[in-house]
Amino acid sequence: MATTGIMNGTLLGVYAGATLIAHATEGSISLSMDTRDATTKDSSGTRSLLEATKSGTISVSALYAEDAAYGVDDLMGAWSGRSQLTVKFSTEVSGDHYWEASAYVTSLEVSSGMEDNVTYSATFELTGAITYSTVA
Amino acid sequence: MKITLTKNVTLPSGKKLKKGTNFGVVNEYGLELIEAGKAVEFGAEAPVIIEEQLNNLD
Repeated sequence: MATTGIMNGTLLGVYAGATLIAHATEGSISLSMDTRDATTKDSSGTRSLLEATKSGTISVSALYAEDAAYGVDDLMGAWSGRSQLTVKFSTEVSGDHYWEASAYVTSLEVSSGMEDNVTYSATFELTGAITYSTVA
Repeated sequence: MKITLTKNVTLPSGKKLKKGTNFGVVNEYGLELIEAGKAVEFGAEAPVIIEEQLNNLD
């Protein structure tokens, strides 16, 4: 049964391949669409737009752990191999909506503050169709 | 879903995870591992009785 009420952000996770990115503290998806400027002298001084390319990114921030089931080591592999992987932003609760697409790791940043948790963040640039559906 | 591995598993990515590892997976893959007897849902009791029986087969 789908989640009811205002959703708790903790439920939504970023999955790379089949595995949840471990120790995450933040996740997000950003979707956008480019436009074509179709303004002409006939547009009466107002800009006219037409549709163009749709695109998106999924980002995740997490705490670093060497023994994470999916962590920096795996992201480094995907980045250095320039390999495409499937990313999913989902609660995995039946009936809830999720986003899924193929993607490349286009950004990976690891930070280590003195006497603080080592953290990292990664961005996945989506390629091809972006699925928006409900968890079975 | 969150699962606990009951056997050492090599993920589709090639990464090897040890028995006892707890981690999140998409439902489809979690069920695949559970049906293959390689994992249990997190918090569920592992089928230790069968394992003990297999260990005492002499």
